[in-house]
Amino acid sequence: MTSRRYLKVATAVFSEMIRWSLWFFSILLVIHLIRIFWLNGGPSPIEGFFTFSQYSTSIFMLVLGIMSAYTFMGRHIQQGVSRRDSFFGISLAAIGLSLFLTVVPLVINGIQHLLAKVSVFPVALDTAVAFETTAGMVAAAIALFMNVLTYYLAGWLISIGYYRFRWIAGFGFIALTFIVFGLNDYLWKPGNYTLDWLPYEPLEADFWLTALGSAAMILVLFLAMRILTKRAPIKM
Amino acid sequence: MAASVQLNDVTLKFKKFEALKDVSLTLEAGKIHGLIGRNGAGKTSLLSLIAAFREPTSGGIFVDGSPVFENPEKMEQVAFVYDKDYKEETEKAKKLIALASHYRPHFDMDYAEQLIKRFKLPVNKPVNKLSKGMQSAMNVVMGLASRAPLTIFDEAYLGMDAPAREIFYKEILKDQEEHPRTFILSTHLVSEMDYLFDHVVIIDQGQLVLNEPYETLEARGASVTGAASDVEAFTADMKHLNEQQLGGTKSVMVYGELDESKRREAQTLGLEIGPVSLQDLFIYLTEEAN
Repeated sequence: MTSRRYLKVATAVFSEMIRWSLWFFSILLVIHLIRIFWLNGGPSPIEGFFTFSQYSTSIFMLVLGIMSAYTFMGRHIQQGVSRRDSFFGISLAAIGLSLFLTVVPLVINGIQHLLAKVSVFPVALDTAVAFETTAGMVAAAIALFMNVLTYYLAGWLISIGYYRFRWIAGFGFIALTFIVFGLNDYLWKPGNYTLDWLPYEPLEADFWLTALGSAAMILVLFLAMRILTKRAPIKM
Repeated sequence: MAASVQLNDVTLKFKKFEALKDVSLTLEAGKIHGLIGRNGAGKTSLLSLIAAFREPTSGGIFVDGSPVFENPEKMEQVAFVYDKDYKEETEKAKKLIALASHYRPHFDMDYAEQLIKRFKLPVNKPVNKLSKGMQSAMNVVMGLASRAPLTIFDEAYLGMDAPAREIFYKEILKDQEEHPRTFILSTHLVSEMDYLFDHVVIIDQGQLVLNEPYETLEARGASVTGAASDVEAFTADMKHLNEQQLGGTKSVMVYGELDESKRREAQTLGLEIGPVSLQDLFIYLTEEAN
């Protein structure tokens, strides 16, 4: 019982976020299909669902993260869950959701790839391109997983900043997340490099080094969240 | 299952403002405790500490002898029902009640269903669309059905109409009989709720003003009723808390214990001695403290 409390939190949070995700993917898929069938803009091939959804998925995770402190933490403590169990539960749910958000676009992309072979679509789909810095589906999946998890953590960071320290300090937390995004771009999207205080050295040469850097950043973000939520007073 | 509460020299400060000043208090397990105080007296601050919503600036808070803050076993035993802002809550009432049952180990869904019927709570409506009274009823359903060993209702009746409040009070007494636990009921509707209390705590400006069993409160004062002139003469050197007169009959609420000789004197004068009302005592004690 004692060790199961965070699992209770994780299942409740995960099922809630999955519900939102299904809405999100349904809408996104409809938009994608509209683009394929009606707004394909001529003969040049358009991107497959995996590439199409990446940016939106990251933003979706950012929004979920921003909702986290306000939606979940107060609710958990009021239901007699400790901050520790709340943190581990939300973290597990976020990891689970990131996996889900990685697998679903890949599966849809795969289906599109198969359907494209039998010429279902009026326009060519570039389903092979998965992720610019990577090679192969596994690498693409790992990259997307780490990206969406980072975006979730960035949102969670903003949300705890506002939750604990009010709006002026909240802006400080937004600035902090820009650094997180900058580092994330530095690691994963050398082409879209936005930080000018770090020397520009594209890391695409070594995927695993990039993944390691990204994992380290995720770990630091998790640690920061634990520290920031550990003794947080609950808003009433 | 019932849990006890102990506060040792608890102080809570918000910057320079002291919400609670050196409060020490023991609340026995299995009793219904009334926490009474004026607006801003520190009731909610005190209760939020017991529910581990925040840490005190100094002092210790214990549930069944163990510190409650970040103690999963103890936090699980405490249900804190308060006037929550549901403006942004778009979930249905049914969903929030289901969530409570997911987290609360002693939650009784059958009992929750019964209460939902009694309060006529529209569980399929989004919570922010419910009336204030219905939101309070939903809170009460979650609090009662949680069967948490320590259940705290902080002015949980807000917005409820009189019949709904009556259901709430009756359910507390009924469920306390069948499933004994510790209740803390904070209120300023003293005259309406005083019959529920086994023990009374009054706080004012963050300080403890009174902390005693309901029965011994009688010794704190009395009501003296009879012919106006006799009552006036009898209570002339006593502290009057409240007076009411109807024709030639007068009733005076006095502060301080009436000893045996005084009681006998009242009897010979044909005066009726009754218990002091908690409401009058509360008003007097908090005015005195100010």
